[in-house]
Amino acid sequence: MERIGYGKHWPVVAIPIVLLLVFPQVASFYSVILLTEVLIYAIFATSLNLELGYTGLPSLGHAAFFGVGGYTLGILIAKGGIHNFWLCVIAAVLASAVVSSLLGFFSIRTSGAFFLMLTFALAQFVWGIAWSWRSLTGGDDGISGVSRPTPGLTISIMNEVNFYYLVLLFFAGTLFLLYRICRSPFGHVLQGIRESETRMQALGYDTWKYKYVAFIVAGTFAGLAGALKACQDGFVSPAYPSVVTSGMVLLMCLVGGTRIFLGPTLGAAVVWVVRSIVSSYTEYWSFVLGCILIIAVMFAPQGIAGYLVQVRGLLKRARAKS
Amino acid sequence: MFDLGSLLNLAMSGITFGMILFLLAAGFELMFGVMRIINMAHGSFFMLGAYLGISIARQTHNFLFGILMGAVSVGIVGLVTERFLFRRLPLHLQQVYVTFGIIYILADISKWAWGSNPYVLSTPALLAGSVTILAKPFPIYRLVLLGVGLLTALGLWLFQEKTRVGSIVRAGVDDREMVGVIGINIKLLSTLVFTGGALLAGFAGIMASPIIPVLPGIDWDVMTLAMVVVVVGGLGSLRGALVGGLLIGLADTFGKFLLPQVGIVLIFLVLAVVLIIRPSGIFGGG
Amino acid sequence: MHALKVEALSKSFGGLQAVKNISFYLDVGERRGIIGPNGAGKTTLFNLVTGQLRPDAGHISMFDRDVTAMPVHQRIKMGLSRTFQVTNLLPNLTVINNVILAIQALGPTAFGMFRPLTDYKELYAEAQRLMTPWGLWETSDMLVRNLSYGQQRCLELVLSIALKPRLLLLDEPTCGMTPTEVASITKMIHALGKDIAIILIAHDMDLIFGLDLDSVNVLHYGQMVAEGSPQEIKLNSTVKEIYLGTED
Repeated sequence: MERIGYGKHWPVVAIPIVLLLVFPQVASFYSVILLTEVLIYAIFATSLNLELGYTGLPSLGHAAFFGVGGYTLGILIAKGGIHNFWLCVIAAVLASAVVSSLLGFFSIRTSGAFFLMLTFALAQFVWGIAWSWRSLTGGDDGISGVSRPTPGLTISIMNEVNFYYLVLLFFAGTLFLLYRICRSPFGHVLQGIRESETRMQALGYDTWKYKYVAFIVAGTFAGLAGALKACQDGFVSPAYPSVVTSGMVLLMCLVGGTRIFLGPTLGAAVVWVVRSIVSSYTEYWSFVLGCILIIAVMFAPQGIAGYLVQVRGLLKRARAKS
Repeated sequence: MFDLGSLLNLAMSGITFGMILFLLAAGFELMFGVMRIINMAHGSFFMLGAYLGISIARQTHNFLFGILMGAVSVGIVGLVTERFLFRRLPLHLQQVYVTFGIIYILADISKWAWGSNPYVLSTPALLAGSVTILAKPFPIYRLVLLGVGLLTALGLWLFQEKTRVGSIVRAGVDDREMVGVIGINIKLLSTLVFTGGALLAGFAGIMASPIIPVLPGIDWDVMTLAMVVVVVGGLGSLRGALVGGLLIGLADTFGKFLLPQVGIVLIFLVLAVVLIIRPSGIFGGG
Repeated sequence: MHALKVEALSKSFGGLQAVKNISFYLDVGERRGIIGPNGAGKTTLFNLVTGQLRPDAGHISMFDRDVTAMPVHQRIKMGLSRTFQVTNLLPNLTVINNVILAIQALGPTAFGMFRPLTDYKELYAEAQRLMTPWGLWETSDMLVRNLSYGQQRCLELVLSIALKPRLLLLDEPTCGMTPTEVASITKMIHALGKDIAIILIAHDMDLIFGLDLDSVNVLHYGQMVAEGSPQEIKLNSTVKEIYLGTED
């Protein structure tokens, strides 16, 4: 696993951070909203990659937790009238943790193909509830009127730029936490499980426990992303926990690269920006995304990030020779 | 509301829907059983078969030809996919991701070619009416579907049990490595199975189109149903496809009738119950 | 106390009876070899003892505790360790990470989620201690899949030893190795502590005799057909019959 550590690699981390901080001052209004969306999807995709890239569990139902987070926040604000931003976000995160504990309990017994289909089916269950339980979720109309309560210090996040900075804070915090987890012994055990679960068991690891915890952590951060998205959109709908959303986030991980920590973030940026650009010319952005995925799978199986790392490796060797 | 006639009518509807699900799941099971591939694009194949079949039927004013071409053309798509895309990829997971990309590609091709309005295949006058069973009307076409479904099930069973190719397929499901070791051309087998599975999906799509209108988004809906049927019935089992299909078909039909608010969720409840009692599905290998 | 006790163990796959009514016991510190032609059931026996497979009948106990229903990882916690006949490592991780994962598996750091692995210096010190004698320390940062076959087999053994086991199961540790590599592995096994009970599956008769084992079992078609000291087995006529024509 490529380690973008501190120390001599600090420009890799520092420069993008500076760019991200400066961005809203120089970019257009629309671009700020776009980048906010990218950051939210980056949280979403990086959380999925804890399961997919690190543990080797291909989940097609990750949007279920995105949906739980979004709906929890939406219901509390729009229907419950609770205008405390932090309370609602914490509630959303807790709700996703609970739901992922429940769904994970059933899913983690399986792996590979069966896991893919089971997570998919269970997420559809959540979607079905969102669609049918009109009194709670508004059915296929969803919940609108999700305003953005003040997060404190009298800073209104109705202002898109302020909201962007808040999301940036969550993005940085999430990636920091997840990075720590990935580099920890726990994170390495997950990778071991991905490589050979039988080997890990033969070393004495209770692999079920590790997979379960990874699943819950991943689901919890997905819930955070969902809550933030609900704030941004101002509404929640059954599209949040739908299979289309699960597919989208999986696409982001695959295109960006699952074996590199920042791969999903890159994938989120590429997929979302391509979608936005292409959809301004034509409605057929799905076609473009599908082609990108197939090309990535066939020629850059480690994703764009993986490809870049390979190129960097080749350049280093070439420089060393001369 | 609960007289025998209505109940039978509902049951028949559920069974015919189950037949469509069976046709759909059968192809999926074959692909998984022999090639260990989750064909994510299976719902897309269903949709494409419906669209193409309807267009051809309308152009040629020939119902049967439309049905034939609906199935065959999707079979060809499957063939091309397997031959040119899968062959180059060593890992199953990579092949699954390719089918995932195909979903997005076919979705837009369909939207471009056929737009957003629902398409329905018009049945010839002969099949368009209904018969009266226990004083309730029952569409003839649904009976036709039932018959076709049963015939296909029988045909597949005969193919697996009685023909040489079929027994190879069955062996491939049981033990992939052995089949390669005995010297059977695994590449040819894979191509055959994927093409056949795609053909079945397209067939399901066009056969269903008189009663299930095809429109954008149906690819994901159908994919969901296929996965539920396969998980319930058991991965890799044709019997599972039939029993799972019927079970889900009946659950869905009765569910929507008895508890319309809960409607869609009911099949997932069935799924959950089956998974708790028997995690590998009814006929699954465990 | 016995390190391992196996009673009336049986396992079949469909129509094939892989292991049939096998019983034996191993004293603490005893070194035993298991030989037999291909398909005799040796690896299946190992898989039953480690817990990868559940027996159809019979009991297994380790250090006087019944483990027949115990999952694999719990048996490992009791002091069991094994190598695999088909090399089973973590191919896309570095050599050092493979070893560290083995070292920390039964320790307190295994579930640590917030400090980076590289912080735990004591793990790296132990890894260096384990890897250096076998020339693996130099390969620390290589991906396991880039190692030579011999190096991988060596690593397989290092991982099993890193667990500090009381009962070690070695499944054809020298399978496919060059004579130099075989000598290396033999030395490694000789150097293991005398209190570790070892069961070794081998095809190579020279290895069996070169290792100075306490006893040898012979398996044939899933059944134990002979048991005794290496000398006794060498002279056993049934064994000779089984191996007649097999040039190892």
